Amino acid sequence: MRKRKFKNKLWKFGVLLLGILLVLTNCEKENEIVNNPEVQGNIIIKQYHLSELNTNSTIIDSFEKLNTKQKKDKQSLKSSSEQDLYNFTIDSSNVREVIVDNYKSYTFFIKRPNDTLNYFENLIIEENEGSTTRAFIIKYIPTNPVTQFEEHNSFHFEGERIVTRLNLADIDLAYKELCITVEETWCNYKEDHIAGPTCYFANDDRLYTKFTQYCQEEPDSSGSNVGSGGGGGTSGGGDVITSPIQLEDERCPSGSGKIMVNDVCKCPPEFTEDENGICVETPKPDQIIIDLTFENNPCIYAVYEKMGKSTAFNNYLKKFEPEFNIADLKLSSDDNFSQNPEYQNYLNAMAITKPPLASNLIEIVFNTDSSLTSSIEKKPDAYKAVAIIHEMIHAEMYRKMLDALKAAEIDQSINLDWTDWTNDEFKLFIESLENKYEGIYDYFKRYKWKVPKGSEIKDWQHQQMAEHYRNTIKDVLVSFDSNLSADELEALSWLGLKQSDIVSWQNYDNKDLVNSTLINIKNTFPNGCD
Amino acid sequence: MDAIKLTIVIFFFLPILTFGQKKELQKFPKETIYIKYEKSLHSKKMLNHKEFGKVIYFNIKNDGVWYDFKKKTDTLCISKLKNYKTSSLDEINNKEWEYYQKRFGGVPPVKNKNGVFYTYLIEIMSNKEFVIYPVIWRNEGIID
Repeated sequence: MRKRKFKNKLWKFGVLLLGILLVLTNCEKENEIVNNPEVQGNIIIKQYHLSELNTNSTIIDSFEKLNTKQKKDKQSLKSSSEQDLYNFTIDSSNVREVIVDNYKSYTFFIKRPNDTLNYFENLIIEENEGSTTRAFIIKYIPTNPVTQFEEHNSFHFEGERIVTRLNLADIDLAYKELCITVEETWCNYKEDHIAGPTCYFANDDRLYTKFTQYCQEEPDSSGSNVGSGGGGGTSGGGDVITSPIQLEDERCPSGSGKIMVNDVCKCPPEFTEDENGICVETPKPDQIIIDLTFENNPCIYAVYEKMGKSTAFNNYLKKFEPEFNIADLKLSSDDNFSQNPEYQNYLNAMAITKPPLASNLIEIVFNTDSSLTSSIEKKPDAYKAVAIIHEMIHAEMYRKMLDALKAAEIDQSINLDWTDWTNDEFKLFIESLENKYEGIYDYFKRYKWKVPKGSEIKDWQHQQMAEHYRNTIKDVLVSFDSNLSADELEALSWLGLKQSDIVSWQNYDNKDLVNSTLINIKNTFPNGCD
Repeated sequence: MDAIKLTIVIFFFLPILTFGQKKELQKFPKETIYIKYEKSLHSKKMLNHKEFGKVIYFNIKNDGVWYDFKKKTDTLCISKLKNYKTSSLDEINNKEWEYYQKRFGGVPPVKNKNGVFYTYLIEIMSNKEFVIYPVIWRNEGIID
């Protein structure tokens, strides 16, 4: 009897345990990103238009050699198979750069004169410090339909790869490479797919590498077909690291450039369909917008142009160019500044920066209102130069926040309007900011995010600028006017930052010298607007 | 027998326990606030501006709200006025702070009262009626 009772209790306990176990396992938050033992932490993937790489000597040199080879082949009596091998054109719209330590490879999608419906090919050019430049063609023959991963401008590929090493110069025929290992960088975010720049920007453990070794018994003297499939043998000359590009989809009309997504043929991201149903590259807008109100103001625009000679200033400008694809920058001026409802808090300012709220546009507006003494037109050119670089640093700080936001992959739209963010998304943004831009994170946390109630002081951007960016301001000013003395540079670097709530200014010893120097500059230095 | 009953009970609740546990996104509803309109709130600096009469500024910190007469307004009997509690700028700022604390554990990169409040302006027209205008906040996140 006691034994039966015990059995009953044991049975009940077992069922209860099973129930609890089921509840607990179902309640746990699923981790979207699967850990992979082959994760490579030091891979960088970037995407370019070919025109952006026109100063890359490796690519220029390789292309020249390939061109020469193509021309020679046309004139020579060599086997047609070799002529065919080099008979391709390079798609200039998407070039992927993969960087691993000192190793760089550039992957290009190539097209043949005849239809290649059952496969696609990539040209890979390596730039390996201290080694000969190598070039390969990898032919990808899918065994299953290629699955597009539109969100990352990438795809999942299953099938055969055929690697062929190209002769970049005739003298390079006698190499003894029997086996080549191809490393493809993949991404395990949502569905496994070939990694693109978005995966790299995420800066987490989602990247991993697929290794495949391709061997042949003897190299031939024409372009060496290394073969397909795995195999043994020793690898010579190092691995080829690539991020494959496929721009054609055999399930869509030939020549259209479309890819199939959810059973519909669509143009890939960054391409739009023309009137003939062919995908053409979407023209990228100029991401630095010079408004006519700014350009047509000769005395300010002249200062801006003169500042363009400064490397430090140009480095900031470059961050807004299309290759970075994070933020747009607009420069304008407002001669009715005092009347604008949005600027009522800033009537003493020479310029203001508007944050990227509705879109990724960051706007710098210069105050050219003649009714205000603060108008930038009434200030010496040295002041104008400081105002321009000062606002540019604000813009750069906002751009970095957008970059962190993009890496956090919270939303397709990149702007700082948080109204639709969840708690978790905000945490992701903060984590991303901390990982990518620790300095910005630190100042944002100390002077805005975590400031106790009622003690919010001057904005975090000015605190950081005063502590860490004044040397940058001085560097730009030296390029702008090499006659500025050390005291003048020091004083000008404090413009807009010497408020009582700025900690660096509080701790600064030479306040009087800065103030008197600034008064002197204001009264005696030239103003191009006069 | 008891075990069978228990099993039945567990399996009855199991779908509720498993599928009902999906974490709901925590909601942070916007609060509706009312501001009493007074002509003195208008910025004198904007007397000649084309938008004068559409923008008011709190006279302490120049925080601006903007209103547009084209938007749908409500005209109500003055006896209903007691149902509407108006807020001062300090009260609004306190509420905004508390909202950010609850939602983000601190202030977000760019403050935006429009993300925190539905804001209405109340203008008393006469001793018989008052008008409610939906308004939005302006000049947020700008830095000089």
